[in-house]
Amino acid sequence: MALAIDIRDLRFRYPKAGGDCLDIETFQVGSGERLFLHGPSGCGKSTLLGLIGGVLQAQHGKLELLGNDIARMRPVMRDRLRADHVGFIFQQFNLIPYLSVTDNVLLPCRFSARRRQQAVMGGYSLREQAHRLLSHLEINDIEHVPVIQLSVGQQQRVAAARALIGKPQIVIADEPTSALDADRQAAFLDLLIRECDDANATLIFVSHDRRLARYFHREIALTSVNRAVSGEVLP
Amino acid sequence: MNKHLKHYGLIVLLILSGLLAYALTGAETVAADKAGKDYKIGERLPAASTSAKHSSTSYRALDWDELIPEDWDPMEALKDLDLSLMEDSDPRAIEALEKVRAAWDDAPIVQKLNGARIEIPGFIVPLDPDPDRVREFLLVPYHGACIHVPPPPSNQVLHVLLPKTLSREQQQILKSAALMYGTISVSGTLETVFTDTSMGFSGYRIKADRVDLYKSPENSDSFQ
Amino acid sequence: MKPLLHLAWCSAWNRRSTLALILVAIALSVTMLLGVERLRSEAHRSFSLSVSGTDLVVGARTSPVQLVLYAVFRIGEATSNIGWARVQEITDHPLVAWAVPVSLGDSHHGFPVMGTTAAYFDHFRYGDSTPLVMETGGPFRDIFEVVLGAEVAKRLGYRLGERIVLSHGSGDHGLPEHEDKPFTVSGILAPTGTPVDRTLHISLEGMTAIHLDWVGGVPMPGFAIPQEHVKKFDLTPREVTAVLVGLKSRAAVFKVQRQINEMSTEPLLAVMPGVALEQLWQVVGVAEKTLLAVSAMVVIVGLSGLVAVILASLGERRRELAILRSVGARPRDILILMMTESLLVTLGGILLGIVMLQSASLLLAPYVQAWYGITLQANMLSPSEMKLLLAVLGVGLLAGLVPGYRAYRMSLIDGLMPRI
Repeated sequence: MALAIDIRDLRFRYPKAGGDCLDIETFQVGSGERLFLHGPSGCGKSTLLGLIGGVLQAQHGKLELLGNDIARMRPVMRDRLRADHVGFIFQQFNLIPYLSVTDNVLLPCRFSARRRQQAVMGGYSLREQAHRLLSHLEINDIEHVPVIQLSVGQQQRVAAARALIGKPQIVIADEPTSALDADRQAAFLDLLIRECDDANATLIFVSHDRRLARYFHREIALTSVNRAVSGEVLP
Repeated sequence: MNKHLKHYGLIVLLILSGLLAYALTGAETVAADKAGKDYKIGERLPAASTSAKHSSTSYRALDWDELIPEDWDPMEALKDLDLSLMEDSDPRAIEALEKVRAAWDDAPIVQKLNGARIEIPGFIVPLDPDPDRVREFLLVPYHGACIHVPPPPSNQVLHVLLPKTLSREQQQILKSAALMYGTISVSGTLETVFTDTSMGFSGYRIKADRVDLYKSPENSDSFQ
Repeated sequence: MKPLLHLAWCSAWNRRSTLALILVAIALSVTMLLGVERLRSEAHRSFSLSVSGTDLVVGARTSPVQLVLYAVFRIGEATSNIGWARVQEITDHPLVAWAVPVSLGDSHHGFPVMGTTAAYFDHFRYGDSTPLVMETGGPFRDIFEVVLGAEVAKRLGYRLGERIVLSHGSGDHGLPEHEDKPFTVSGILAPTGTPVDRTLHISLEGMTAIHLDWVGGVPMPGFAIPQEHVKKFDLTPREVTAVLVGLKSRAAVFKVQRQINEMSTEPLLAVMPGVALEQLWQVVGVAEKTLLAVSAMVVIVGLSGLVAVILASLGERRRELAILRSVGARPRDILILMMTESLLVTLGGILLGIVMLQSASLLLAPYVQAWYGITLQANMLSPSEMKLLLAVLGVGLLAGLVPGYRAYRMSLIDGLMPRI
């Protein structure tokens, strides 16, 4: 299938909200595409990511994730799809403080059989695969460092490794560089994009920093796609 | 609404847990009490019960009254007295009651029952205090004997001897019944016994083959 | 399930300093709960094993329970005694197979002294009709010989041939002593696990002898009968505390009991030991249940603390739960995670509680045996103890539902973007 994400006529509002938070007529992301999504805070970015991730369910419309219409699915199926096919990177506090670096990276493999199988396909063990991925992201020899002692840049790269392990088809990064300083931002983006290309993954990159848009195939302003008035009410 | 739900839910859960814990710890003792409490003091078991397991094919269901010779009347001494004519603590009344009691201790037995294979339900009076290793006990027709009411006449007391080795099931039955004056149904061979002494004593003995939980005829689940 | 178990373990380990406190609290409450139950069942067991094959215990007319407690278990005090003539009558009764008189009142370093006849060692049975066995030596033959119970010999370190002095009355110290008439140890009994172990046994004549020159509980000043002269006096006891009776036919017990009870010469009480014990258990049953209920409440309190601690930590774990959801955890998994954490701490508390219980049992067993004649066995857990532990585990599981459900709701609402 050519489309990673295919949204048609999607409408979503939070419970007890006065009006729709999202009203998208059409929004499509091609398979393997690198998409830069920007917009001011409060325009529905988090909501859209929540919908794509399957933790929120739209009241109306179609949302196809790799050909599966998740708008109609039961929560169990949506959770499974997310586990199998989507990797997330957040802005900060990405890691679980009581797990080791390796265990953090391997988290998706514990919840998805598909990602676990994909990870060990080259004949590597899970731990070896994790270390390989980390070294691609220029993290070496820090397996025994407690997660809370890592620098922000290191944490973000570990988060990226976790999002990428097991070759998910879609990687969603929500402001991953906003907490990094300028010179680190470019380096991080380089590594992330290279890994996504290697895996043929679709990358949806959300950020308010328009300067980063040049790394991407396409740039979309969410406000241009979301017809809902800014009178959206978040609970 | 959610906050209230959380608080009430917490309280309800803790109360439920408390009840659960108490119920589980008290369950054993409650079950132990219940069988004894089902019966009032002096209450007898309904006549001619048959145990569910094996009916009267090999054992005859014996009624307690059959153990008393027909011509025996322990109340004889009291018959001739007109109690309405007496004053309080009249020595004649006291003496007559003494005679009745003495008669109870030397009650005659029915000799022809010797060797009969019978099954009879009754209440346990323990001879030794160890409930784990019951070897023998006394069986009486009514509840509360020798704690709350006087013991029965000697032809209504059965000395039950158990086999040397008992299956686990039998041990369990005994343990639960012996603990609280429970009812039990004994199947075995009845024997008449004479004690060869200057003060003669005659009574009944049962060489028991097996014991069963007593099931009353009306409702088979009297132990619920 | 396994990844959740690993997560729950790492999470709990990470917060071990806080959780350790709660774990110890739960452990203490479990120890208390099990301890109460163990003491209860061991006391029942010990009492039940203490006498066997004795059809009647005859004494002065007190309450049946009090008589049996005193005569068989040496617990409490005798209010009055019965005359020697009664003992003769009972022994001569045609239906009585054997009758052993016992006399209590003196003590030695807190252990009761019992005067009896040599027939006691032949007729007394305990447990499953087990007779008394001499470890060394034999029953008393001379007036001033004493047979020691196993516990007495062990605690005080006595051996055959040793001379000991008995004290008048019962109590730990400050008692007047019969110093001029020491006793020689003629035999030591093998352990029985009954009050026999903590008793010193002397002959009835010996008991009379040491009180010859005493009146009203004190030695008469200026009136002392030396030990070597006592035999010149009549040493038949005037009264005894109780008589243990065995019948020729056990079914005749009601008849003999009634006859003894109605003896007009002296108010006597004949008691069936099994029946008296049943009455005792009924009386203490209420106290037992109350103790158990209190212990159960303490466990609940401990588990409530656990619930509170986990609930309090949920606020700072919203980010962590969002991360878990992002890698594919379902809200149900979050619930199970919390319940598993709670269960792990409860389980740890239970295990530590068992260890503490067994240690306490081992440490205290000799003292409990010496003071109360109750044998505490520190071996495997009994079925009733296992049931209690399962109940605690079950309640711990239920308790985990509270933070579990809260976390479940939180993760549903938060999704991937929690409000920090």
